[in-house]
Amino acid sequence: MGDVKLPNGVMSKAVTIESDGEMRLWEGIEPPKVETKEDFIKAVRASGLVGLGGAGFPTHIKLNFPADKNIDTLIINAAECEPYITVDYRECMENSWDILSSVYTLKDILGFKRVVIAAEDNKPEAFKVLKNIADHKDDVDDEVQLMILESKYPQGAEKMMVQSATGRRVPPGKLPADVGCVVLNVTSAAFIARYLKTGKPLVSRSLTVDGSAIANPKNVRVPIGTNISDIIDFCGGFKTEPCKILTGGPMMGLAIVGTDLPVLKQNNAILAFSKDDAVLKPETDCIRCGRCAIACPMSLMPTNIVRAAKAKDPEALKQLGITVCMECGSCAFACPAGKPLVQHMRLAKAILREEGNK
Amino acid sequence: MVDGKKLVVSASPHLRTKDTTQRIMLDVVIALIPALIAAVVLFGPRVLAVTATTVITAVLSEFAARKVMKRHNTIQDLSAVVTGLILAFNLPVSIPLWMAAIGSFFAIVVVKQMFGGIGQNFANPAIVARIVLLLSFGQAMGNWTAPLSWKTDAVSTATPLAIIGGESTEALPSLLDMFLGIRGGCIGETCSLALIVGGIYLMARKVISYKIPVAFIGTVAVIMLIAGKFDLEFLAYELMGGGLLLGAFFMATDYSTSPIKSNAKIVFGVGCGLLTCVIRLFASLPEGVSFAILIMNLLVPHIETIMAPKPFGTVKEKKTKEGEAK
Amino acid sequence: MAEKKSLGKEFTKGLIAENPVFRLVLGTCPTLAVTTSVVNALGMGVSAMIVLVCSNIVISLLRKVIPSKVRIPAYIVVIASFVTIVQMIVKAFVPALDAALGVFLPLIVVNCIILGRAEAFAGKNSVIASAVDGLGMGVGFTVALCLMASVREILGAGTFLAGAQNLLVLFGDNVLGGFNGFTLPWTEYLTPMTVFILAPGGFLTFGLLMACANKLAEKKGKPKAGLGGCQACPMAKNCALLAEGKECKEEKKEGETA
Repeated sequence: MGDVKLPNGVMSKAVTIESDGEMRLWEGIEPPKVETKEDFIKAVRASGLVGLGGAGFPTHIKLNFPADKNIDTLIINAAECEPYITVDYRECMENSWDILSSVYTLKDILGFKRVVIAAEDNKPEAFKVLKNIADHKDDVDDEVQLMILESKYPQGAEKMMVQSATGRRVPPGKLPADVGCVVLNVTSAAFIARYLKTGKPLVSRSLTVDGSAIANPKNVRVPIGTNISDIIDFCGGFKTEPCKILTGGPMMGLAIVGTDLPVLKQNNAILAFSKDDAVLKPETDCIRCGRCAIACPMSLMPTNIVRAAKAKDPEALKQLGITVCMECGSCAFACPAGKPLVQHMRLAKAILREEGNK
Repeated sequence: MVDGKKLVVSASPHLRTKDTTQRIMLDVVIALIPALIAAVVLFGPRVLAVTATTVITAVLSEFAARKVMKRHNTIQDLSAVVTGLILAFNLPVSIPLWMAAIGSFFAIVVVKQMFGGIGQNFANPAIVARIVLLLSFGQAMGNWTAPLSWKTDAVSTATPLAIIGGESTEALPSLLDMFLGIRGGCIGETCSLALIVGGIYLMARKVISYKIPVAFIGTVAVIMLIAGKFDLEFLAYELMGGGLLLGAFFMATDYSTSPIKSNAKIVFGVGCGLLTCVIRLFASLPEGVSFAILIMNLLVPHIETIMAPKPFGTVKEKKTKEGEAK
Repeated sequence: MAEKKSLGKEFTKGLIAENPVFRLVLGTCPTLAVTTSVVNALGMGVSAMIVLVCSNIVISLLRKVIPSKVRIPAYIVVIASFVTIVQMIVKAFVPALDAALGVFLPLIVVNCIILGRAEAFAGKNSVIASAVDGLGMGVGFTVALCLMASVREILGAGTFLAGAQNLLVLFGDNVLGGFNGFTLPWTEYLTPMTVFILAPGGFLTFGLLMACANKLAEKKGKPKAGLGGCQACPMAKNCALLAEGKECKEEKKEGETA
């Protein structure tokens, strides 16, 4: 037991395990007994499941909503949240039985009136598989529906998903539960079914290893905590000199300082880019073209937010709705002047916190 | 560090669009080239002299102003070139070169750099410079040369809008002549064909949105239709005459002086159209586009404040009977 | 109360550091209106200076007598009397100037510089100091007006000191050989930029000269005329509240009519 550095630079206490390489299941593992909703929530908690789509929010808290919240819709998020990542797609293709089992289990135990399985239109193969789940004979009242959504970043984001699937808009500062929805990543859902069947908690997960510097890009299944360098070696190592390595996707992922770092529960990709892809866009002056405002999925105005942040004006920042920003990176992507807008947004949020506390 | 080599660690997002400010400005320059060629055909090689003067003065002024103000150099983003071109298009071909240079200097230094450089100007630099030149050198700015007369002897003429306005008794050019630009006027405003081609190019390249030009020209069309008692010929002269097409496609759509959000863009376009018509119909000036755009530029911050978009999911506060917000 | 300055300093502060036009931003209305020609500017400046000095002296003499609650109307009466006197003198001896200045001559009554100095200085200081302050401010005002007028007239009309006879008639007929201003040599080839004679050019010149004055004053260590707050108030130097570290709005909240 000792201190381990995490990809975001924080030091954390961890146990280092020497693997005997045999991958035998411990005899104490057995499927949980689930008869009531409380048993179910306890079981999910015991499994250690967190949002496997990248958010990492503890699932048992998300599913343990109070009865007065009036939750009627479960949304299974099969939209890949970012470019390059394909683990959710492979989950649909390879573990569709688990997804099927999970959808109907969740519907019965938690009492959803409707389940929407949402996928993006650039994955027609997955569409076929998911259609079978939605049209299953057990779904007498057609409460399980499949919805094909436009492939547009950030479709996989929670609030965008709720709006696309149900038309409801989550108010600022609130959760999907406040508009009667629960959003669950398709891999997390499949895991619940596997756990109820086998009792094996969350000790491994799939992730995509890709990028222009990786020799053999592939989706791999790894034990959580594996060193990133081992994973990259498994994929053939680097074919060109890596210039930037990310955990997570290219829009919201974290750039890491080296590969001697562990994989965490919520990491769904390791991307390594060569020099050409990693070059930083030079920054020039803002021309007020407004492409950032057009790109923002939350209808914010990054140009005005940057101005208010420079003036350290908390009133203006509050009115501009900076707290709603989910740092998806659409604004910075669209900016022709190469402005580091997401950093400006983070700074603006910090200024609002600081000035608001005064 | 991997294998002893350093990694780039930067903040997300790690993907960026390939578009740059320079590329956008280059698109605008390309869109203006048809009009430039048409102008050279119509008004002779002096067009190139005037244009070169304004562009070179603009670039040099920007370089010098940034140096004096101890700011980083920005001439490579080509915005000074665009301003120089558009200003040249707003001047009559007979204008003395030193006047054009003063206008260009004014546009870049006073209207643009003194307010903070690109993206910070309070009004379109070319428009303000044109108006300043109009107020300063009224006679030189009103000296219109007849088209195609540069091959022999330059002859002065009146603009179509002035003829309609009763300021001159010359005959109006035919509608085809108007479309091809064979009429008196500023260097870049006469050839409607070239301007429309340029405008379509800009819209196709997504440099400008169709909303402002359509709202602007549409409003003028509607009002002139009614004012002319549904005389379609009158409408055609009003739409192709003056600087309407040049203004609607290239000047009203300037990024820093027009609103960002779609609905505000439409309000801006309609406002420009309304003011243009008011000035053309009721004021003593035959042409109102430059003043209309200038006035609307000044109103843009207010339009944007009133029409600010609500962040995603904002719920309107319900008021109780006593008028208190819940 | 602000620190006591030497009389010399009281005079010179009106020139740059506390120039009423470019730093205190008072009296902008006549500034923009009469600066189309240097002769008019000079005439206006001198008239205003005479009124300023005289009213400062009288108000300072009466400062212990005038009750605080009616001081503003009292000052106006004094200032109006002197403006009337000056107006009559100008009408009599320099009628062309009276015609040129028009309504702006009697409007000196409401010129903020005069009321402002009365309130901020003459009402609290000795007669000699007030007179010197008035002189300094008046000279500063005249210099500012003439500077602006020079720029506007040279660039906008291509002349300098046009109409000089209007003023010179004070000293007799055909003074200086009937000198009536220069027409500048380049106007033959380069037409003057008329915009400077018009309002937009006036504002532009005003702004640019104000920027220069700020730059000069900054070099001397004075703060820039800021966009808000107490620093921007023309009374900042003599404000008792500011000296105590308070701001006007704090005091006003307690119901005081400042």
